[in-house]
Amino acid sequence: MEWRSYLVRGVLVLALSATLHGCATSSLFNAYPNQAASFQKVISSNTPSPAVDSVLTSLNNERESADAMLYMMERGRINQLNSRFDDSKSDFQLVISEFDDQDLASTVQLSNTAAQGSSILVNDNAIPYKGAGYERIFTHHHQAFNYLGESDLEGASVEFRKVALEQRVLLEKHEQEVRDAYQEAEENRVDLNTLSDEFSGLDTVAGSVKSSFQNAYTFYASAAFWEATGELNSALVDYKKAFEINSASELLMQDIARISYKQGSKTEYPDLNLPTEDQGVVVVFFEDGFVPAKTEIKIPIPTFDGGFISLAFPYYDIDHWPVSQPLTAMDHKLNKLGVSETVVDVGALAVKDLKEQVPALMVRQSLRGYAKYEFQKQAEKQGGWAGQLAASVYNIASESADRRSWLTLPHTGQVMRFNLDEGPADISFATAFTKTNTRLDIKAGRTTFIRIVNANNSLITQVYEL
Amino acid sequence: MKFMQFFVVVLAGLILASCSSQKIQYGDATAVETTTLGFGSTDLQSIAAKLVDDLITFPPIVQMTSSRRPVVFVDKIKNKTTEHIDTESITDTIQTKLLQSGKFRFVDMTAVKAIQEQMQFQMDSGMVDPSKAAAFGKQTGAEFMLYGNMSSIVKRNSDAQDVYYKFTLKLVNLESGIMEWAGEKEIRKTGEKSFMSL
Repeated sequence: MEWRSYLVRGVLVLALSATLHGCATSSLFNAYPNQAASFQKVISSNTPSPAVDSVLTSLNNERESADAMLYMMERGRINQLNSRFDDSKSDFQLVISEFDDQDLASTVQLSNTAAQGSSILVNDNAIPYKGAGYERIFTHHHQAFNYLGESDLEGASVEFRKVALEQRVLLEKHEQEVRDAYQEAEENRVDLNTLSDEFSGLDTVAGSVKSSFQNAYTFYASAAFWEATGELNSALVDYKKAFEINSASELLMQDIARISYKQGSKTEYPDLNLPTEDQGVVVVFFEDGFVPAKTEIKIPIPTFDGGFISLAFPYYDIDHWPVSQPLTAMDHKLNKLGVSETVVDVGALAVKDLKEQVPALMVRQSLRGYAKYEFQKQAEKQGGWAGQLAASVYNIASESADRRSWLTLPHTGQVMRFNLDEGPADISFATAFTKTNTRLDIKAGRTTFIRIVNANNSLITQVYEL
Repeated sequence: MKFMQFFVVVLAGLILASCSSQKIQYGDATAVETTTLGFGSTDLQSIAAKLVDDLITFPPIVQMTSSRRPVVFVDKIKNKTTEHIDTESITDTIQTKLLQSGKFRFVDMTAVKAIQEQMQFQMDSGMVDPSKAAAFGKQTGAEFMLYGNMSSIVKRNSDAQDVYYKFTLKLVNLESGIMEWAGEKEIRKTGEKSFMSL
């Protein structure tokens, strides 16, 4: 029976070599959030530094790996926040083409089945990362800002159109949930027609459901872009979609009223936030913190013969959810220009995505539980107590939850908008813990996008002129 | 024991699946290309062929170009699709085909700067015989402008995708502002998921 114990060892060696080999993922035995901590750490200023370069180089080595999509999303964002738009564009291009390939990939892919199979003996991290719907939207969102950074408005418009398509696809995928929300509203006799004319066609009932999968921050960015480039119809549609999701937002009501007014409708809204002839528009996009990572819970499941098999599940620790800070803008005389409003909680989008994966996850975990139990039993038969011990140690060590997700994304996306007189303007932006000053060159009739990212309690500022 | 063998096979499969070799070969530039659903060479060629055909067989244009070759200027084509398409490449093909039909002549706005620099060199460098230098102010102005836009509608669900492209091209008389001709080319492509693949 000697050869059989060799076989057991052979399997272990193969499993290990698969992890060490470039073909497999790097998250098999090193939880992804631990790796991502080093990516998050380098996002603290937008000046080039050796630390940033070394992280970018190590991420670039993952371009061919099974989790290339995930690493390129992280790399694209780090590059973008360092204003390396061209590099960032090629990173996101890889992610976009992977997503596009998935659209028409066949239902059963044999090469994929092999990875699924090996995941049964190791853990879910052996399955190549596929990306989530909300990550796909953020990829196009970032790609649009890369084009804006290069002053390529047509390129940005393509990405904003593409992102609208992806948001629509997500909506269609969740149609049933939206229908259920209507039914509930009807049962509870919620009046759907209480809004005034300007806000007609809006659907706040559906909005409460949509907020869990659609991204109002991206809707706002594209609406502001369309407004700045004079495409008022598109702007109105996107402001309305953002408002459906955030139906209490004063800012969005004002935006919708302003666009309706620009299109020639009468409005009773008191303040339209319209710039005068010698003013320029400033739209601030504030990205606060980092999206929470999945944590792991290990559930020991008893086997028939008195042993235990431990199975790991990913979950979001909602009891320790980070609190987001608003951003305040002030001019050089310390007059308050505005306070940002949260339009998206990226954490909520991530939680929803995990919830949708639960059924498939349960199936895989039960199969894995059975496989690992069988493996342990075989090992005991062939290697006695030493074999069983080795198999249990392997089972415990190899069992880790799939905690992969795009972790350099912000926790919340917030927006504000104000008008400034033409010429140079010194603006200070502050959260409760940190502040930064920016000099802007305002041009009358033009729009300036300011993106402020709060990472590790320092504010990174980027200015995009449209 | 079969169970263990299954694992070995699966793991070996994983390692083999990720390693493949390359194959490179030449192909026909006008062959139908269906690698992906995105805008491709076949779309570009069919758009150019259809619109050029439309334009040079349109009766008033046939009449106008029977005795002279009007000068045309090509404006940028607006890309309103969800893909990054080099619309200049489409207009280049259209322009080349029209030029080769012998019915139109073009002024090239993309070369204006280079032309200007060359003429400046001929006038100012002292290296060119002034009697043979190209003189300023002698260029011919365009009589017509060719412009248009390209838009798309994309629909997708979990097992199929449908892409519809519409390319519109218009010819306008610069002086009178009258649109002399407009042509449209529509393309529809659909893709469906297969059940199984390698």
